[in-house]
Amino acid sequence: MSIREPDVRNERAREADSPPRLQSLKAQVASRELRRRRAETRAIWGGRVAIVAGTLLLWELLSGRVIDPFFVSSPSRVYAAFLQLLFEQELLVHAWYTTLATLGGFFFGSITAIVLAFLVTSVNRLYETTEPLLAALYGIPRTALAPLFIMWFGIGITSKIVIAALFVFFVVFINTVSGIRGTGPQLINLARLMGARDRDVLLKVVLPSAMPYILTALRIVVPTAMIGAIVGEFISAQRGLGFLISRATFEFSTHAAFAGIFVLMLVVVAMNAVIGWIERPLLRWRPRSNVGSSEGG
Amino acid sequence: MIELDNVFRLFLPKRRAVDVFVALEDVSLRVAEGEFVSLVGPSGCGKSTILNLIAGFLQPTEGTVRMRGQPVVTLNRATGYVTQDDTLFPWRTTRANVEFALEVRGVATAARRDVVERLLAQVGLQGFENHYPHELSGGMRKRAAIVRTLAYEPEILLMDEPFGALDAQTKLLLQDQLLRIWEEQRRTVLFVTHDLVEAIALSDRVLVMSRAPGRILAEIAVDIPRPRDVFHIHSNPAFPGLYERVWEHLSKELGAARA
Repeated sequence: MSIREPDVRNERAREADSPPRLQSLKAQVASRELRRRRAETRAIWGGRVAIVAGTLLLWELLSGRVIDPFFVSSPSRVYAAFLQLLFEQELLVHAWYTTLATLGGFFFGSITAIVLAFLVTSVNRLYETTEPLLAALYGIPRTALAPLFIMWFGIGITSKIVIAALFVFFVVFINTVSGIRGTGPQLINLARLMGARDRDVLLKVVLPSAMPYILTALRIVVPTAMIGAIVGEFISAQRGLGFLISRATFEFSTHAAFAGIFVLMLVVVAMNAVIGWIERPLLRWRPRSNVGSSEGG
Repeated sequence: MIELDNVFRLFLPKRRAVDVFVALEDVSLRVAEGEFVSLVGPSGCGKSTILNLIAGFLQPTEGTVRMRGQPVVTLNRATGYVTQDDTLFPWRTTRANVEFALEVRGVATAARRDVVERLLAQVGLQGFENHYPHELSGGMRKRAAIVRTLAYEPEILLMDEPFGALDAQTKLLLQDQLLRIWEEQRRTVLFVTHDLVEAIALSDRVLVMSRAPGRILAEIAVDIPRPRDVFHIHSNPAFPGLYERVWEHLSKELGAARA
């Protein structure tokens, strides 16, 4: 039984006839545990804040005294650049452009990967046949392909979406395939015996069984999609955070570059939070680690 | 109702080496309608292979498997299978697991609910409808797996060491529940086990198999009247004699395996 805030209404009936000594012991143990957990949460968050604040402070102090701010800028300068970009240079427009390219590539790449993974594994021997070919394609550094995609799809957002999708595709594809192939044959056999048709087996057995793999892949590729979008913007673009950062470095404006990088980080953090929020209800059926189920009826 | 005639089943266990493993050698058996038959025998003697042949997961290399006179050539959907391992769908709650067969057969939600409520109540799983398998104990998972199989009312129940992984007390309780359900419905059951007491307590007949290649060595009719009491089966006057007879056949096979 997990210890939560004691539910007084439910507990009271049962506790009415348990001896008072035991009651007070239970209350003591529960409140001690609660206190311990709160202290732990506080310590963890305190630690995080301290690390960030300490780094910023050290950066601010060292910059100009020990290291040349021309190369590393400083938090106060980055903040000023951030405000300047925000009000004078349409930072939000650039951020939105990159976010769109990232999201577009993320969805386009992962949906294609998932659909292809199901197709390739549903045809007998097709996966075995194509596997080395796919591995060879996967071996090509995708950055090397990016200029070609700019040539094919222009310098607009389409090329960025396609490049981001390319960055995303293989990770999702490979994970989905291993999820599908990892579905227990016994589960599939039993489902069929119970009357499941091919469509039921696919949607009600294979898909849920592969879901943890797919979600893991989706989580991994959020930053990957952004790398793709940024690579595209670095090569050729007229908008986007990649364009902004690359222009800033070109102009030796380190603080503006850092401000752009900071915004990139915020976008990824926000996307991860959204994925986590979508993922939780989908994986509620999985045991949390360390929680073993007890034997006995 | 189930007939195996001169069934041979050979396997190629390794993918590269071509050494053929003979799982079943000339096995013939009959299970009558409504009969409870147990298969006992050393590990790897082909007991599960027999169940897989009847379910239609496997085809015999030679010989015939028939059900009600019809040869089993594809998946035999008149059978229900309870395995030794946990094969509940981990992403489905207890209720959704038990509903599965009815759901894929297109039974309406309301009708499904009724069947599931009744079945879960029958094995004392009320209050656990919305739990996921990992939140249940081993015994509860087994009960859920059994009623999941009963939900679509298969004509034959194939049970492959269903209680093998349970502790002794839980095992007894589940044997008792299974017997009560069986006595009510009189479904045909083919039950694989290593536990001789279990085989005798539950069955009408016990078939003893040889070590691999599997053959049927002996058939022992269990003439203990029903309804039976699994908790006190030892004190039944017929029990020691039956146990001796089964053990006599089996011990020879085990001794031969050791030599």
